[in-house]
Amino acid sequence: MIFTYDLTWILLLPTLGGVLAMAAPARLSRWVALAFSAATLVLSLWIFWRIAAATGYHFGSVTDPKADPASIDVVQLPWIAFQLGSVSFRIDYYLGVDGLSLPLVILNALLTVLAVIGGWEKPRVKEYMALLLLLEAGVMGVFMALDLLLFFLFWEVELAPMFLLIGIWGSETEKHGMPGRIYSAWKFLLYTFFGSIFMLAGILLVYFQAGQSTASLPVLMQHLLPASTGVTLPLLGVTMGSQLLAFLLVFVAFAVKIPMFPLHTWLPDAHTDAPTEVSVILAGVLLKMGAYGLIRICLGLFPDGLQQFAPLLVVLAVINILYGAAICLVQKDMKRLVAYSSVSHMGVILLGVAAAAMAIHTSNPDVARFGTAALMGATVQMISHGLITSLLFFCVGVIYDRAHTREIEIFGGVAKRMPLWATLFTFAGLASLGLPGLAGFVAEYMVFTSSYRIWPVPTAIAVFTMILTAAYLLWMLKRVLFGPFNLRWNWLPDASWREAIPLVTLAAFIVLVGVYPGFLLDVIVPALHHLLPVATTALGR
Amino acid sequence: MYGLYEYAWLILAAPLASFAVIVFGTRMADLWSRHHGQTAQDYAAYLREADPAFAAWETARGSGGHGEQQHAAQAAGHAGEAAHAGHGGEAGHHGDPYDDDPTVPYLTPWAKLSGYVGVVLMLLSCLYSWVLLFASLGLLPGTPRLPEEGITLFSYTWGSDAAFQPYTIAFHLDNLALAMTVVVTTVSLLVQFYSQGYMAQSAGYARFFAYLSLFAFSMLTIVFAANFLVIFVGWELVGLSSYLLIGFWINKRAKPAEERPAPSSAALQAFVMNRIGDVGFILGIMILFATTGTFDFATLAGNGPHGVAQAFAGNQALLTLAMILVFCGAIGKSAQVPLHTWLPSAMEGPTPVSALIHAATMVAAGVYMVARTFALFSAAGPQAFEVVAWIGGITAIFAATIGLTQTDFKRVLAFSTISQLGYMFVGLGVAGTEIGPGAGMFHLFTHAFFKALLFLGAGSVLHALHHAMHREVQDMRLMGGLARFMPVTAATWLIAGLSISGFPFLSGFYSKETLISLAFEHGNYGLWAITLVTAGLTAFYMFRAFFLAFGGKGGALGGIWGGPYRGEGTPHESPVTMTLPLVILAVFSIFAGYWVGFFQYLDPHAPLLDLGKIFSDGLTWLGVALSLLGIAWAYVLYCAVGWERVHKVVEANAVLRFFHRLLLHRYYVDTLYDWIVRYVVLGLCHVAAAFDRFVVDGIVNGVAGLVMELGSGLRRAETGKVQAYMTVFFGGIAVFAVVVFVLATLR
Repeated sequence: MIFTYDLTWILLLPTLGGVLAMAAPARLSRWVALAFSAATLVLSLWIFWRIAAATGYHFGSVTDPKADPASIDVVQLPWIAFQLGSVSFRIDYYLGVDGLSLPLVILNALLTVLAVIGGWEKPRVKEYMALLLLLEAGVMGVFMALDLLLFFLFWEVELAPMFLLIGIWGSETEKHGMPGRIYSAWKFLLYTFFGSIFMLAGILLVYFQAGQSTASLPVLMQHLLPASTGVTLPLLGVTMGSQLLAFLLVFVAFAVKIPMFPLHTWLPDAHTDAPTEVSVILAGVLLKMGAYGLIRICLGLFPDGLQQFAPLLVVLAVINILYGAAICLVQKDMKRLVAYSSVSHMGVILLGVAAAAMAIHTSNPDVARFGTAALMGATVQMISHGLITSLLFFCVGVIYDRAHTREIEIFGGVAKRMPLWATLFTFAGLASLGLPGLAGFVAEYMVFTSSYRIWPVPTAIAVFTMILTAAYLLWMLKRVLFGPFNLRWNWLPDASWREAIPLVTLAAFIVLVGVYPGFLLDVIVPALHHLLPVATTALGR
Repeated sequence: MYGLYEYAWLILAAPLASFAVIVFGTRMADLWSRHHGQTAQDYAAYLREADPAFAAWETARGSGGHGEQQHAAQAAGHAGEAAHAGHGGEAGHHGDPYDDDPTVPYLTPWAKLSGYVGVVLMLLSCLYSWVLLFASLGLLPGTPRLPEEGITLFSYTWGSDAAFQPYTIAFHLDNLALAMTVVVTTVSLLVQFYSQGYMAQSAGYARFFAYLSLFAFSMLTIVFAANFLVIFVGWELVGLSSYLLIGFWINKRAKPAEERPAPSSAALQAFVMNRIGDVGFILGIMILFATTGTFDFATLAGNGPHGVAQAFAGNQALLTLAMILVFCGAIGKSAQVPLHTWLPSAMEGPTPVSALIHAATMVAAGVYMVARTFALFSAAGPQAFEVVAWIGGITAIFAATIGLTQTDFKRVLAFSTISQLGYMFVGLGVAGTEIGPGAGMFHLFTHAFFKALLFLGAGSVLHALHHAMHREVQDMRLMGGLARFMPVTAATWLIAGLSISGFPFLSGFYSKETLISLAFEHGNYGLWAITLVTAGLTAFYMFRAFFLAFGGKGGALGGIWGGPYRGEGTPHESPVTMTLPLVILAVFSIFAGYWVGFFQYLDPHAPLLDLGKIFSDGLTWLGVALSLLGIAWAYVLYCAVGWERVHKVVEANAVLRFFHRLLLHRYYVDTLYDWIVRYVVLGLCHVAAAFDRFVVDGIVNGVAGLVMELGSGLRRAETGKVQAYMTVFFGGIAVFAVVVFVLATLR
């Protein structure tokens, strides 16, 4: 029975919660949302605990056929199967979590709970809560799906609630002749659709080229597309390996989501116009969908294609990192600044992946170790960026709810009236600039020191982001929190208890990951170890 | 085996514990008690007087409904702005609540408890480190000396996988670390004790002690670091403590008339400039790591396959480059040219902070780091040490010349610190392998005490003047004759001044003369000349400061002791919480130099410090003569002639005026940097932002616009007829089927 699997309930609980929040009377709906999102969190933690207890903290990899069944959690049931002439078409209800996806599932569950708490006093709260929970369900599906077509389905499902959340609760500031929320919602939707079309084509290419009559990721990873056999594109007349072609098609969708230069411009708009909690989810988990897909699918299915693309990817990564940071320095809006800082920080993930992609080529175990560490750093960056940027957005949300503006120059010395909030905002800024002892440092230090072995010059250039990051974050903090007190803000009350809950929770996790990253790294690394050797054998080493 | 030493991590843990206790415990209670009960009423009454914004805020908060509240808030805002403008007009006058540290009528018991927690735990750390120091000298019966390679205190890796093996958090104790630990804990303890008096009325009393504890923890992390990862962690964390403490007075304004930035700007500048050095540091670490596969100091210095000797065999130039890059970190942290401008700005922090962080310990972290990685520098080409020595030498004379003209009491000391740090790098750079890091570290050791004393003494003066004049005064032209009012401060300051000037038999004499003669002995005559001249300049500007602040024409002993006071009110000697640390530091400033086995303590193969040779060497006395000349010249100018007349002479002479302006404006380096940041860096960022908006996003919006145009043309297709839609729908499916078919046949 489908309902006996706990992964089903990870999807069902938020969905049910969303429906019930709609159905319940307004007074109750937020409590319903809180209960169901909390239940999802508890369930995801329970899965984590169960695997940890059963295996002695040895997490497996869902794409590894030899993985200990206790070390992962998988459900596979047939769903759609039909024969069309010689073509058989099959989609499975195939979900699984392992060391790579489980931390992201927990992150998603955690951030949704905090978003529900953060959005407690929104207008039209019923719909708001319902859509937040439906969004959670969609994202959960993306992180858990192991059938490529199911993955695609959830990839699209997530769009609808996000579109509505930005479009209805977004800001009214006019952009290009329409309210910002409308403009940004459409921009977000069209950009993602644009990527999705390519991804669908790529997935179908893999499906039919592999000839396994299944879109199951573990199966396809055993039957990689030929790296050398060429495909000639019908219109362009370019010949390339079919694996590279499939990679490029699928990667476009991930590149939009990450977002990678030059496909990033939807992000600042979506962030500035989205309400606080939606920004949190957007930065915290939606961007991670792209990075997760890059590691899980591109590295798993197209190691050779990814490797051929790596020299370009590393250039784009450096552009992301430095270009994003440079733009941050001249932003006038706090949220837009944080949005561009995401572009910069997500570039670190690209850098780590680009290094790992080159490392799988090698027969030198030393270089392989550097590659693993770089990929590990990239994966930790997914989690730490999720925590830190969410904290930053929550902090900006607190002041925005009071002052109804986020313009940096208008404030000044606000720490005088809001000491608690100022402390946490400063903490968030410091975490984001990669202060040791906090989560961001672990990821960035690992990526930079390891990637240097593989990409010396690009990494050496990228490291200069340390200066820019410190400058734009601390400069923003200085102008908003410190310096002469602007008496215009004399009336500001400090963050309330309800507002402080998400801030303090995230801060605690940031310290935990920063001081003792082992508990996270040991969960993730087996899944990556599986990805890299698979890729290595594929290259015929 | 090494029982006593193995608990040395407690020295590190104690300040972290006091940080946690204060931040999550006593400071919370302090803030809570200031908002509740009788204390709250007292505070409110006090704030109504002291802070005009507070009354408005209270009214706004007290009023009922939301709309009403908004209205009141607006009114308050207007009233506030009016008050604001009024204050702008009479800036600098007594009572401007934003010009100063916000004060409280009295400290709550919780605030006081925060101070006690910090001081007591620091005292325990300090005592323990002294016990360990004596034990490691073999003076403690029953406890062996530390082994030469040291012991590991504790370590854990970031993950259990083999790929994470280099990423190890490990703490390590050896003689070098222990010598530094003693300096850090002792100065920290004295500064914390002193702060109980200095910060007695500060509203941020508890916060201050939390930051000081955080700093002690961070600094000890550097000291105990066993690898480049941990030292980098500590490196950034001291940067954080420095940032928090420089910006401690969060709302204080800039003072353009005195060329003083706002503390918040100074803090930002300090952090970002340090980050510039840190990029070099991490690049150096990356080269070392990529080549050897380890961060560990001992492994890198060893002869194994992961040691630099083997890993860089045949590629010494790369190692040299790596070490020069690592040294960039030290340039930033120790405020060497060209990354020195943050340190004078950092003087905007409270004075105890300047003493602890920006004079005695944190800025010396760069010196310590070079000493720690001395073996790696030795393995690199000679250029690495040459860079270290020459950066140090240039900085020493560069900062000393600026120090000649500054009128701000703390800034003189700041430039003196930069200059003395330069000396230390000269010591490290010219020493060579047979002497080891001893010479540079010895000057660090003695300098920590007398420079802390100079700053705390300056703090005592500023504290007294603040009470006398009811405003912040740091300009030495408003002091004078203070020795009459505050004899203990003056006497201890005099001792420290003599010590830093290299007056015979005081600690600075031994460490500095050793450095200078080392430069000569190793044939580095250029650096020898520079350090010699700098010694004279140092003596001059220190005594210029002493005579301007404490003496003056017409005072006792020919103007040395007391003289006309140029300020207002009557200053008084500081309380005993402040003078006691001064006296203790004065004792250290005299006797710290008599640790003749210092070189050997750090490196058993190094020679003993030969006092006889120092005294019999003619070159030593040349240095002393130059220092005495500097003192004498300062006496002539500021006690015999008087600064007003000196000033007139300088202003009247075009050449002198030119040099005075040049030095007073610190060679215009700050101006240049300001220009670069404002026009080059931000300019490029504006270009990037415009490119993003008009090109990257412009193309997207252009395409979207085009589609919209097309769409409005196609609108006619929207007939509203279900049949038409169904046709398109099935047509779409047909197209899709064809695509699938084509793809399927591709294989």
